Amino acid sequence: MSIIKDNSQFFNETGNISRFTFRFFSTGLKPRFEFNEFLAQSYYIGYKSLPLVGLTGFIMGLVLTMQLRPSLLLYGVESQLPVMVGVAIVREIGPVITALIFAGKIGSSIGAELGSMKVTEQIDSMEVSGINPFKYLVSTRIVSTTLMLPILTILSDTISLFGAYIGVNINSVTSFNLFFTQIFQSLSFSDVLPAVIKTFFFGFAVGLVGCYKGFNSNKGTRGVGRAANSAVVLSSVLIFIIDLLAVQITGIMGLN
Amino acid sequence: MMKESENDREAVIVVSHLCKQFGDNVVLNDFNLEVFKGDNVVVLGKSGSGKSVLIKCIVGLIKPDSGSIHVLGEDISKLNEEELDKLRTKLGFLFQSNALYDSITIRDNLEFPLLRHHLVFTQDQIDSAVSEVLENVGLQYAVDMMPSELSGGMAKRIALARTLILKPEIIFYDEPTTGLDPVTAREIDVLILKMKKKYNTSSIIISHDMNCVRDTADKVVLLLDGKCYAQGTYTEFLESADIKVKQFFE
Repeated sequence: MSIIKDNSQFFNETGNISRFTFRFFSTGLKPRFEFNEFLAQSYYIGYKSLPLVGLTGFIMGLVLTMQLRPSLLLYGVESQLPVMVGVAIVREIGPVITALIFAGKIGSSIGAELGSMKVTEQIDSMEVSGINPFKYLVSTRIVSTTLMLPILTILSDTISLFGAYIGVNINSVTSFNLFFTQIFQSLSFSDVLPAVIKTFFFGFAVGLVGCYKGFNSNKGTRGVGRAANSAVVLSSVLIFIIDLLAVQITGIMGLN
Repeated sequence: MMKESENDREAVIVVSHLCKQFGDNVVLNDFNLEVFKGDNVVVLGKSGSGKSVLIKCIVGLIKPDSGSIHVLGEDISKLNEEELDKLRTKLGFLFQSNALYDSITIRDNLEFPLLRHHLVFTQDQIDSAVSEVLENVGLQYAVDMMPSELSGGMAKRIALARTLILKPEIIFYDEPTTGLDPVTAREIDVLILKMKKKYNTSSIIISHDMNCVRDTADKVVLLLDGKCYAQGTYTEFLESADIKVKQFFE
């Protein structure tokens, strides 16, 4: 019985998220778009996330370099370190780690904020005064996360590569020019473009799940906690699923 | 606008055969109600009897299972999202929890509906509208405070001010005096009457505070077992021999 109940809950949840997504595309983007709220959200979601994303990006580049170095030394291909780090960061690690950090910070924040507004009847209050809370609260946040994550990822990748450069120079001396020339020579358009495109989907997933969980939160403060928690968990899982699909699609298109 | 019974007075709300149940719990069962222009109708009932569900159905927050609801001549079940939003600008709703936006100041709370509906265009107009509603509730000094800094009575009055800023034709009060001390509760009752007189609003007031019922009601409706069990004036209720009516006055 428990398995049947769990399956039923899973399909209900999937159906509800699909309906929520459909509502976003069918009514959430219709005029009048709340541009000021979108700007306010973009400031918080994008600009305010920069220090965290930058710091984790820097550490990611530094640690990756330090971890890869001994293995490459073993095979005598230490000179290929910038290439390996560059490709790994730009194609895979940068977008995924940034998206996961983003899900932890922004997904939970959106889930908790909207969840709290829901249980204190602030969303109902908005609705009964003739203001569409879906457009004002949900659409602005989803559009904002969708557009901000790619920008944050590009910045995080750049800072990561600087971290990697410092990591390389801890044990040997490599010039700045040589390091970045090697990286850019090894990267092609087909490495960068799919990696950037998938971050739009990561951002959309984080915003959508955070808003869905918050907007449908109930059961008081416990519900708010659950909304924040499940927003992070579900969006993290979706990030990996989207990443897997992206790899398959780029493979089919011959871009791998 | 609809012309209904009671000497052809204008009915602003007509609820017919309304049914709503949550799972096996039947909350409203063939409920009927008429509210006429300028009337304060108090809906009495035990806790959990469906009073709040009733007004949430009327404003479209909860979808009824069957029955019809006409508000200001519009059948709300036939309105699309935009039309319903437009109708709602003529309605005010005072939540039991006040539902003030807690991350912005009182000024921003009051300006929010005006700015969203583009009802004002200059800062002077906004300031004037904010001052007017704050003056009505006697809290001009609270304009730059945060909702968390307000006492229960102040928060209730600010919530009322926010309800009034769009100059609604109908106001729904969900237990406006619950949780307040008797003195503050009386102040809220006086404010409800003052607003009715000043703006000629019609109201549905959900309450089981009998002082509130006595002070504010033009008509009292007793909601029992999902139905309109009795209706009349406060005096008629007070003099009623019906045991189910009497228990509210004991």
